[in-house]
Amino acid sequence: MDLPAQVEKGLEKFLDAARTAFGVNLVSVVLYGSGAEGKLRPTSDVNLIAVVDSAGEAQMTAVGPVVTMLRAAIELKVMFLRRAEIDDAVIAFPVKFADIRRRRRVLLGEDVFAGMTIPRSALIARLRQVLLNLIVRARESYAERVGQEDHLVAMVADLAGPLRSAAASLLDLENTPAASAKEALEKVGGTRRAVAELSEAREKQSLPPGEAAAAVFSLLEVAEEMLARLSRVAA
Amino acid sequence: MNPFDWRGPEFLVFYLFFGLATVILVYVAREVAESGREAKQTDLSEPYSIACLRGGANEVLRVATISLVDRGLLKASDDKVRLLKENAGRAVLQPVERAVLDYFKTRDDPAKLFSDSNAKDAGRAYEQRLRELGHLPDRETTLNRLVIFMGALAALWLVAGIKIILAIERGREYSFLGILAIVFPIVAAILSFPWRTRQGRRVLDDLKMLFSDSRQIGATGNELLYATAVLGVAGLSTEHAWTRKLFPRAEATGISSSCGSSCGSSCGGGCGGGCGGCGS
Repeated sequence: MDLPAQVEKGLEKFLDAARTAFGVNLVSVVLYGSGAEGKLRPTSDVNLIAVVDSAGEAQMTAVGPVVTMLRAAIELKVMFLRRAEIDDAVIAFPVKFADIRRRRRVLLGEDVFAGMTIPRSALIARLRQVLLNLIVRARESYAERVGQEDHLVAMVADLAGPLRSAAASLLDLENTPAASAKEALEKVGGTRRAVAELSEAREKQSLPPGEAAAAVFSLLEVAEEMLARLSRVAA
Repeated sequence: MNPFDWRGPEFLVFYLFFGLATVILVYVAREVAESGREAKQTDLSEPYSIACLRGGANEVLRVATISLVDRGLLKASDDKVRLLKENAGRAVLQPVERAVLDYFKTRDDPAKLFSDSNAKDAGRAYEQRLRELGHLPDRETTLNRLVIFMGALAALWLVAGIKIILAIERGREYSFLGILAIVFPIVAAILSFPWRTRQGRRVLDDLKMLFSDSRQIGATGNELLYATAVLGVAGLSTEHAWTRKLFPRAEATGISSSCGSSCGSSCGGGCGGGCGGCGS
């Protein structure tokens, strides 16, 4: 795999622990997001979905310590989903599953997300919620971090993932899909400097001095524009 | 061609090579002996066990204290620690955490935590578990190590002893040989009795690799607990400088995978207390 060695090692540990904890109830383990594309950045989370037939206390208690450790080591985040819950989850979290549909890698078992369809109405509603939530929370975070350049840079880096996913979903809804989530945000964000600087903020955890605040608001502007475009799509 | 008939400098060169060959043999023999033993568990995911594997019972106490401060059950002010809530013991399940809380009920000096028998016992419980898992040397492994070391010691002292007796009889200088006869056994002892077994060393190296790029900015809770357990106080980012004020010796000595074998008797009670600062 084209992943950092420690991430590969961490994934191996998770697969071993999941096999031990769930046994025959483990249906599939899927890596999604930037990890599936082999484009993990220092600030990226490693996102997994473990599809199981049952997730009782004993099984979750058995896998828990390894998940906790890997969260600390490689920012592993695992969604444990029962196979019977997949259809409901797709409706409840359509933006996430749109991302999974675009960028996934099956690490174990069958590809349960092949041929998955995401209801358009659910995607529009959820995308609106995601964007609004992102905007409101980003304003709150900014107010709490004014003047703390390092925290603002981290904030810019953290905005990248959800903004890119949202942009990709928006372009899907507009029937002009992009090749990747990164490209989608570049298309949606236009020539804004903050969009161009996102990769630097994510990779190096730095921006030119004094630019972090402007970058946050530039990205918020992109999110607001996406909301407006979404309203046109919904209409 | 009898080396005992060689002149002093020539014999010293011979003994130098002989000593080096012996210590290399000691290392190889121990590695081979320990590689043959089946590991009962190759992975560790419990933070206090990881801390113990890295630095022994003292390190367990150090990590537990840092975690309790981080969780708001203890309050750290420079190099002093105090209990924040009288009933904090109810909020923890791990015996070692309870023992640390008990200690800080009546005292505030983290350096003296390592000599508190209750806390020390709680930390040593992890050593026992690691011995059972084969990550730290159990009785059988220690015995094997002792046999290897005694063999090396016998060879080193026999060769040096014969030559020294001859030198005394012939009225020759033997002090350099005497020094080598002390240095090589010390090196052999260090190589014979490392803190961890070969399996334990591999597990810890594996964990260190896993955490080599871990994000520590804003780390709290389990993230900080695991980072401290695997990397030690010295491995934490400057954001967590308060941990160094609490345990300055852990910072000064550093904690490496090899320190367990070199901390010697200065720990008081041998290497069992681990490295990375024997007292604070």
